[in-house]
Amino acid sequence: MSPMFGTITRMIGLILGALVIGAIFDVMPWAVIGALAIGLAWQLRQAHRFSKWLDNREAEQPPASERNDIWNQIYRQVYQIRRRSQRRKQRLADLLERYQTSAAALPDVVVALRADYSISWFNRAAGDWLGLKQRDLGQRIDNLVRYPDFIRYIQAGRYNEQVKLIMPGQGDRVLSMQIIPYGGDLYLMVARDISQIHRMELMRRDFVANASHELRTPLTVFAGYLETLIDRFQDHPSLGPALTQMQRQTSRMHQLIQDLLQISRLETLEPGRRDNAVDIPALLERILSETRSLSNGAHTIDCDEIDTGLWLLGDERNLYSAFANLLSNAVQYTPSGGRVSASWQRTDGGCQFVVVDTGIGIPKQHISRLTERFYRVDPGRSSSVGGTGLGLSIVKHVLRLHEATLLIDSVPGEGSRFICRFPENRTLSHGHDRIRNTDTGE
Amino acid sequence: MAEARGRHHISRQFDSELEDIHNRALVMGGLVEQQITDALQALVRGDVQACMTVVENDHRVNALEVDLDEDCTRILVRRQPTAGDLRLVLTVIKTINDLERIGDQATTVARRALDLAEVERPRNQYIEIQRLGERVCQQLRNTLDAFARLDAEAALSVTKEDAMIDMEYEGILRQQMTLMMEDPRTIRRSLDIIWSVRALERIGDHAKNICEYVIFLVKGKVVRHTSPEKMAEAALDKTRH
Repeated sequence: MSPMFGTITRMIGLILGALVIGAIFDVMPWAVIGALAIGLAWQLRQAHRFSKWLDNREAEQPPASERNDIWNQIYRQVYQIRRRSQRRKQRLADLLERYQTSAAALPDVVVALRADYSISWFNRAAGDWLGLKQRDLGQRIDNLVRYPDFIRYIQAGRYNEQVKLIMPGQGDRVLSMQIIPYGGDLYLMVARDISQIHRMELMRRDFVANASHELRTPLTVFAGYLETLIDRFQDHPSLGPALTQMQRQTSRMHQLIQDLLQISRLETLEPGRRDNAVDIPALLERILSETRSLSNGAHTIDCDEIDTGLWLLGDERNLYSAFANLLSNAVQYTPSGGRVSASWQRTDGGCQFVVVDTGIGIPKQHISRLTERFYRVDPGRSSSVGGTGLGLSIVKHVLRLHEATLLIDSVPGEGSRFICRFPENRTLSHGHDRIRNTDTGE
Repeated sequence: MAEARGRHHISRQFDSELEDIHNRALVMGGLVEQQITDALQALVRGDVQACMTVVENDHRVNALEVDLDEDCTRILVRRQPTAGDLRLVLTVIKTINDLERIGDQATTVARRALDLAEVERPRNQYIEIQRLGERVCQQLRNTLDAFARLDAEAALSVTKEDAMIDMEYEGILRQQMTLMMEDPRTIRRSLDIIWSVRALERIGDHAKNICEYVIFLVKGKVVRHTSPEKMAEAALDKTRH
């Protein structure tokens, strides 16, 4: 029996009753009005009860009723809807809580930031390491984490990079911090404790520097005596060549130590310190004449398109060794009769130094590892050309100090192109943008 | 920041200007903190390169101060702030002045460290300077935190810390005097040490000044040159200003 049917039978019963009473006592209109009024009052009472029941925040059981009418039906349906939404809400709340407790327990610092870098949530590690307190919610993160490196990082907005912060007074804890944009304009700040790695890095660096330094002294003594010996035994049939070979190897070792020391010095430098306006065109002039003497007429060495008005903000000595390394590499890996050319120009986002050669080229799989120390594409070949295997490492470090990038593209057998791209804020134009196109190579 | 002070202006621009000077004062504070930390490290390790860097970086602190000072003046002229806003601008102006001087003291430490790097190191490897310096750094950090959070209570507790710094400073002075009397050859080194600990002690005083400005900013009461009790009363006053 449907609830609608129950309600209708009850109405019909009421009206029939009213008709009977009206017929007996001859007060038909009043009886009908009375019956309708009773019916209406009952419905209103039900509606009132229903609204009161809805007022309860918790979804209670509907009031028990045996009657099978439309009101019971409504109660049941609403009750089910409320139960369902309550269960869903509970599930979401559980999920959120589980997520927050797990994020809070993470050993890494996690801070959720709004678009204006104000803190909206942070975990326990953030409280411990960065000294954040519950009352700091809504405070801007850079007001509390005030390390200049971090502020520069936020201002630069290069969030695919990380920033290393050394926290004083906490046993020199070192954090590697990164900001990750998500959900439009929200940010997640994540920091990892890298004290251990940092310390090992320092130890390795110190070790290389100390070891190279210690090696240099005995080597100098060695080289000195060798020179004396060569003077005396130069014409000796078996000793002469042996001593010359020894001297060559000693000077190579000396160069190696020099390069190692230079790398460890470069590693400790921070970008932006000791920067000056460097006259790159004049610098290139010097490097090119040196390269020509290195090539000794075996290669065509041009400088096409050197922008004479284009200077760079940087460290002259380091730039010199980086550019000289690139050019001497090009000469060493280009067979006689090949061509090496250098250019120095303005680009859209700054300026670039390019070295192109027609040398043996580099197979693709080696390019990404080329700047590692002592990485050799062909171990057999490299010792014959000389070189220490540290040249490109030096280039990489110098470019890091100048916020520049190194791009390498190469086709084996045809040649290579090394591009150093410097950012706009280091580019200095000296007005006279004469472009010189000289072809002075032999 | 506007939320922290619990008020907004009809002009959103004004709000953001006030917030901006507050932020930038803290950015400057961060730079100064770094300068002291670096100077101290340079002194303790005898690192000449680091000393030079600190001395070279001082102009950045000065440049920030000049810029910020100009912007504060501009706000005063254009917006003619009143009450809390006026106090904020005044506090920023005074704070950056003290921060700039702290920066100068940091370069003093670095310069002394340059001299000290040349002479023989004492047996204790400057441990007492390191301890005093770390305390001063911590004090400055707490000061700037109190300024960031506009927390008068924290500012009050920092001012109490200053007494500890003064005591340690006196201890080092006494120690150096004894050393000089024992062996006059160490006078040169001792004088350099005294100069640098003096600079550190001055930094503590400047930090204390900033704390007083913070109490002034939050509570609206001038607590400079008053007794500690009066200061505590002002800082812990619960009525809103």
